[in-house]
Amino acid sequence: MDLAYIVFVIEIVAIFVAILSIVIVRIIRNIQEHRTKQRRDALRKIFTHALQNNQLITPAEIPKALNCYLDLIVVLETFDRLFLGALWIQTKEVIIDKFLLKQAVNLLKSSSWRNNLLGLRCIALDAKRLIKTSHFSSLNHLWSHTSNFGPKGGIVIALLNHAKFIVRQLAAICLIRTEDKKLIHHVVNRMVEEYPMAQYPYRDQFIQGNTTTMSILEELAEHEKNPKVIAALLDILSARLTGNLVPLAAKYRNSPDDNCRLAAIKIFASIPGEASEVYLSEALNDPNEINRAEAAKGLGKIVAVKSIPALVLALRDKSWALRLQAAIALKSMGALGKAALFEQDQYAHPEAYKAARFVLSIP
Amino acid sequence: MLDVLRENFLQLSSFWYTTFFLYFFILMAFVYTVIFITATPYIISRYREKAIDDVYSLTRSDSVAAITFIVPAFNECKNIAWTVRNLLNLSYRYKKIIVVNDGSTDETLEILIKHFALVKIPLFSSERLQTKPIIGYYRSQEYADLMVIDKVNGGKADSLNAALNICQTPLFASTDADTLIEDTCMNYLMRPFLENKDTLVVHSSVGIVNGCKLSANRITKRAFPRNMLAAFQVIEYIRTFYCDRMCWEWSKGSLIVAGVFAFFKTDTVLEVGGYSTKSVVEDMEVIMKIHKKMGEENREYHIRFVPDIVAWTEVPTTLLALKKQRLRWYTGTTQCLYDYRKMCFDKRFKSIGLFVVPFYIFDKIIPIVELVGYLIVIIFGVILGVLDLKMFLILGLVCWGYSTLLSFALIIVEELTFRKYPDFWGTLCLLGYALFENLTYRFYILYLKLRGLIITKKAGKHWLVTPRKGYNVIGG
Repeated sequence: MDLAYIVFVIEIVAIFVAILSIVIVRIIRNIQEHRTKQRRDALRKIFTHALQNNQLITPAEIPKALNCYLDLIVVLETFDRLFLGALWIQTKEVIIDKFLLKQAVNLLKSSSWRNNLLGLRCIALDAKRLIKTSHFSSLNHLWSHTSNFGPKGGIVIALLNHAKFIVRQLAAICLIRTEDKKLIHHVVNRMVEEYPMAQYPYRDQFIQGNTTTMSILEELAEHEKNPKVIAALLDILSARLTGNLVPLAAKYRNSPDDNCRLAAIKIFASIPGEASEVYLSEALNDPNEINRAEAAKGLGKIVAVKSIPALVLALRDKSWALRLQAAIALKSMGALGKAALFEQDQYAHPEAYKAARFVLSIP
Repeated sequence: MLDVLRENFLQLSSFWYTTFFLYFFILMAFVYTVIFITATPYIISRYREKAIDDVYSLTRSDSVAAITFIVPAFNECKNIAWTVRNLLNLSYRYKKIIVVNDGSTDETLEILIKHFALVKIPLFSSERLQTKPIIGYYRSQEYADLMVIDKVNGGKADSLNAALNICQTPLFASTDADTLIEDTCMNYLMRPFLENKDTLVVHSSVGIVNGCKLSANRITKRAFPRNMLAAFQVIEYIRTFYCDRMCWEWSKGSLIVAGVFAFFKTDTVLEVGGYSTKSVVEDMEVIMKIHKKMGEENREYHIRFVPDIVAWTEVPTTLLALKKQRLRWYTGTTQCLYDYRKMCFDKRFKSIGLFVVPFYIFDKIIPIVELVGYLIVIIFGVILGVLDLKMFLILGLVCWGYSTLLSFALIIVEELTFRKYPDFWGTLCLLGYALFENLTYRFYILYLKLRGLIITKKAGKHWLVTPRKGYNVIGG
């Protein structure tokens, strides 16, 4: 009984302490958030003023009170999404070199994933310059850009194998932005080791790359042996119309790997022309039903009117996905395609008829 | 002589009863303390990750997997247009929306047709799962990603199955027709799928929209509910999501997933045969099926929980509506646990069989012990006058103190991390209601939990019709 009284009293005291803690936490957080907001607003004002007046920001303009690593990173990232010009690039260089780089390198060396991520966010802002500027000798270990670098050949490269997905993601973005062939090849090899759904940030960054990056990818696709890597490269290239990819895709149209063939089909589907029409029509007989459906979709995209007979046959395929795509493709081919859909016989080929009617009714 | 014997017997029994309840309380306190301690690091870790993660990388992405949002609707004329607009306005690029009108008797379908320019299209589906007959498919002329299925009434599970028959995306999200989804949700719920290929289901915290200010399908201001019942449910939701769901992250995952919003891998749900139409808690039932199948086949898998609030829903504000909702939940979970009782302590299911299922069964037993305790106090203490009432009163106060302390500890975690209610008034209300919850609201919930232990034939009812105020009324 006495013990129960004591426990009860302890609980009452703990409840009061908890209430007090909640109030204190609330006040502290409010103050912290308010101060962070003030600092970031002040930084934004400085940057906006400088950019509007076409002036380069000098380090002296950023007072010590505003020199907070995370605040600077957040504000730089915001402006980086909005500005591309030479003035902004110079501004970024000044801020990174003066205020952020040293701390970023230390953060990259940390064993905490959170620090690694913060460090990478700084590198990602100016990855291409950092690798090329020789006088940052202390940063050479970031890349170890020699012919024999391996997974541990540089901090950022090492982070590409980090256990935490968001760290790997950002490390890949940094390396892709360098526009360096060896590094990009390394990233692609790492990318294909990721689970397919997790490859999206790599893919996104490649697709957003400029013509240099695309040329590098084309070059890699020409000489690559690993089918997984080939499929990934072709898949990225299919999202961008970069030169004449048809010969490259034609090389892999009969690949034993399903994903390679699929990626080749997607390339053909992006480039209208007789060669694409021929290859896509052939792909309607691909052993993989996803590839067949993609081929039908591709024929619709490039409005391959000559392939109408092949698509009509595809309407009778046992794969539901192919029947649907074939019907959609026929509908996109104007009067001829629609006529082919209307001709489908409800009793001779009920599945083809169903697909045709469905697609004709879609707005 | 007989009187003496009787007296001795009653005193001895009194001692054993007191000891039993004391030890049971200690066991319960230990279990819930362990759960709280287990859950808290995950919440704090997730919060720290969120603070430095790029929220919009997924929504801006060109390469992410497409998601189908499935919205089963039965007599949802008040909210359905809002909910669909909310989904259409999400910035995630590759999404499809399938609304399933499950034989509504109000103007749900008519409102959808009018607001979204729907036209009827021929029936076309793969019929992977058996469902009630489909009356028609509708496609929107203005929104290419929107499709409506009109079908014969068959319940939420049947509606979900009908939508799964035409779902072509690798992921789908089951959502209720009165759920508002936050735009940033994609990033939070997609991450676990990207981080680990074995993730099959991801669910998250749900916020209570009662009292919040809404504008253009978005919550513009979060506010604590004015309705007392809704306010108590805020505390309950915090406890449920931050404790009961979060604590199982170290294992394969929780048994219960909030039906209002969760992401599933389409193939996985099809593999286990879709949703069961025999259960009133189809969300829990499908999760149990997944646990069972994966455990039996010894496959790696994970059901992840994300503590961020991704979806907001309206909670019942009257006792009758609350009763209907909770009876369905508690009866359904009892039925589910009974159906899958063989998983308990089965090593094949590893942490699920050894810890998670036993915990949920233990959680079902607690109300029974509590009821017995009250009966003993009344019979032996008040009527027979044998029991040391002071002891039981103190024990009761200790239990109240512990429950309140646990609620406060969770509020501290909430204040340190996600802070649902940014204003000080919200925090004060949380504290106030947490203090009185165990003296008022919990007794009604105890009664409902006890009722929920009785599985009746009526447990098979398909839809819970909860009176809704609608989003143009909530928050004013």
